[in-house]
Amino acid sequence: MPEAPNVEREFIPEPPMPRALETLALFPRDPSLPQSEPRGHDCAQDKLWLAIYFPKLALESLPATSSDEVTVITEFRDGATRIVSANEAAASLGIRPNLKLSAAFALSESLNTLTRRAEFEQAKLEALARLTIRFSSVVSLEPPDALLLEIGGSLKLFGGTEPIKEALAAVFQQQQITAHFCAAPTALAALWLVRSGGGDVLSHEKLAGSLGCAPLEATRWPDKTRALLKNMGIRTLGDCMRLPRDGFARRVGRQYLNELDKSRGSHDLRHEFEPALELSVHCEFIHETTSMTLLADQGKQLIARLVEDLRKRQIQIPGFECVFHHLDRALTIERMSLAQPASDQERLVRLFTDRLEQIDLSAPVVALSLKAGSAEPAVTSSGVLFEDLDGVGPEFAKSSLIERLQARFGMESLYSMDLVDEHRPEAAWSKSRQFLQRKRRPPLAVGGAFQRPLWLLPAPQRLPCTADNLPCYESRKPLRIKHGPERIESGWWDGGEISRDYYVACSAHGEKLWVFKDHCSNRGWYLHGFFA
Amino acid sequence: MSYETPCKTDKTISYIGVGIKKLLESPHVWRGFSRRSAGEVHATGFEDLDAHLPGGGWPAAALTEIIVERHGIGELSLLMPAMARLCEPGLPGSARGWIFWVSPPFIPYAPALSRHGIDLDRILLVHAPAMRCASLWAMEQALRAKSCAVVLAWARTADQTALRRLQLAAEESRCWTVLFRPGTALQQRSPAALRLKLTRDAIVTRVEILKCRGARPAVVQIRHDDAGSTEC
Repeated sequence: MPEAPNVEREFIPEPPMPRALETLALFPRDPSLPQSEPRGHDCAQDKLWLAIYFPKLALESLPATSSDEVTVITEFRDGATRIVSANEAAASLGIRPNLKLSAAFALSESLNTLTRRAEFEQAKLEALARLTIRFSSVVSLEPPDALLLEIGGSLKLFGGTEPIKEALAAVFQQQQITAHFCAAPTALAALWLVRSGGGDVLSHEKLAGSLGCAPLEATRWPDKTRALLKNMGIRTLGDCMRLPRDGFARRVGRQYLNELDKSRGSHDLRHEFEPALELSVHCEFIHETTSMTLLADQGKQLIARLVEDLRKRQIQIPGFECVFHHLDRALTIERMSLAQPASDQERLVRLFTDRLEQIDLSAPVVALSLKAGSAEPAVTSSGVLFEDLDGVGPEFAKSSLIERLQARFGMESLYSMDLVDEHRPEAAWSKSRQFLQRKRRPPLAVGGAFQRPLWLLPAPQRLPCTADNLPCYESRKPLRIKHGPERIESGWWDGGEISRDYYVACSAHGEKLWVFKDHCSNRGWYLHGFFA
Repeated sequence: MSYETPCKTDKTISYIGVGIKKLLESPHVWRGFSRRSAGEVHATGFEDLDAHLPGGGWPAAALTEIIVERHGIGELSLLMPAMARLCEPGLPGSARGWIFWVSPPFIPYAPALSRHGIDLDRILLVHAPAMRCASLWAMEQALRAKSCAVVLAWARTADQTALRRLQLAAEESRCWTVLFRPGTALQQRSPAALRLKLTRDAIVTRVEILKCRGARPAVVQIRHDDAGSTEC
């Protein structure tokens, strides 16, 4: 905007008597108010904002209706139910937004009215924002019906504003969403221009001129404020900008002056849109189904969608939940975990189909959803150029085996081993489920110089005894003791007390056994392992 | 052998050599004591046994079937030296995979394994449910994943087709695969490359080579000293 003459900006004429200025001022100066209009250099010059306006979002966010039907979205506002949005059939009858519903019924008696659902609109807007994040690193929601993208940084990549707009238009067309675009150096200017149907403004110099023609309605200031300005004879933003700043701030409102400043380049803080990290995909079946083929098919499609989402956001998931919805019954939830976070479609599908074979569904399924609770940034590594060079695939071959086995047999049935520094033989080892991230630990020498068997029985097995209290094993002949005893007494402090004499013994069949005589409870003989 | 080196001076000899070589490679020709197919092996650590096995060790890329009537007669000690060698540092990638145990009848006791030189970090153990094919399925998955150095499995029943699949999978993945089976399996034919039967007589484990590709059946006796050299 060309600088307005000073006379217009101050009620006070050029001061011949400077001392009288303060007293004569109709609206005393507010020292906290920025004294000048913002210039372009207040903000970074290379910023360019693209506003995307969805004029029919209220209608389009609701489930699709037939286009022949006269459909309107209504909302209760200002003491009456009013039209918010009308489809084409309704618009051709002259039903416009802001019309009272009673008036609309006068125009068409077969009116299909739907109540506005703010939560649907918000969800839809977020979904649309998610589609745009690949065009810009800064996406800001402008509820209820617009998005703001900072595309200054993306121009070089996409080759200008027009290619970005074309690509976005294609995205929204696929979603069957009406969208208008406008680019401007400030976010608010882009938003006001797109609402007023203005064209792109690419430089700060032209900004004030283009904004000046935009009608007041584009600002969406409250009706009361707009009415006040209209009564003053102010119709456009340009008129507003020509008003004295002090007076405007006092009579109209400080925040509106701030908005005007922001639209011309003063600092404008915006909330950045961050897509929720919770990932979930869902599909409904037309009929209840028990068909495993159908479930597997749908599952594969859902996984494909999930993987697409993961790929776009460069993240991996450590596992996912598979939720089967039934009619009037509790959900069936199957949790699948990966040995290592992954975003590999083939791997997830295989895991899902393996598990599906094992599931015993209690009732027919009406819907299926997949949920990934958490995610982490994807770690990509170089592939193998000469595959199978040394016969073993990289780490992921190891982890995919673990996943498949866990999916089929359950988490509990698969384990690795650790040594434990402990005298009780059964406690000298532990199951470990940290398969791939094993930490190094110093080797333990359990048992010292004494022999330890390769097979350990899950629980000691009581052995029958001869008359002179010698143990037998699957024979009437007593065992021949080869070595021993090794006295193990331990665990009195934690309730698992043992006191045993271990021997190495030979059976009549030739097995070498690890047996002990219990001194704690019944003084019997037990078999505890085989030297296999 | 002369036919293996290309001879520039006398081309006819070289042609004959190529012809013989082709003939010998044909699958229709069977030779009694061919060591050609022995392939890669893992030395057993027992000299007597090595002497009877083609290539001088466990076939590293094939199915070995071991028939044990009773548990605890030295069946694990027999494998320990070769497995310990697979755990030595500095081996090529193919030997760095899992040591995978499928449905062992008892708990492989970690302290004893560790003393035998087995790297516990490489052990992966699964208890497959007692359903008929679960163990064999797990084995096949492990082989197809090509991430195992050794697969040890215990199966009560296995039909001819399943064994054949395992043998092929073992060859393809170049993985040392050992399947322990009960005495009833003796009535069944086996596609395994090596088939042994173990019995125990006092301090001697008797290894009967029932079938061995490229070698003759034999009986080897492995002594278990009382000093415990094979156990500890």
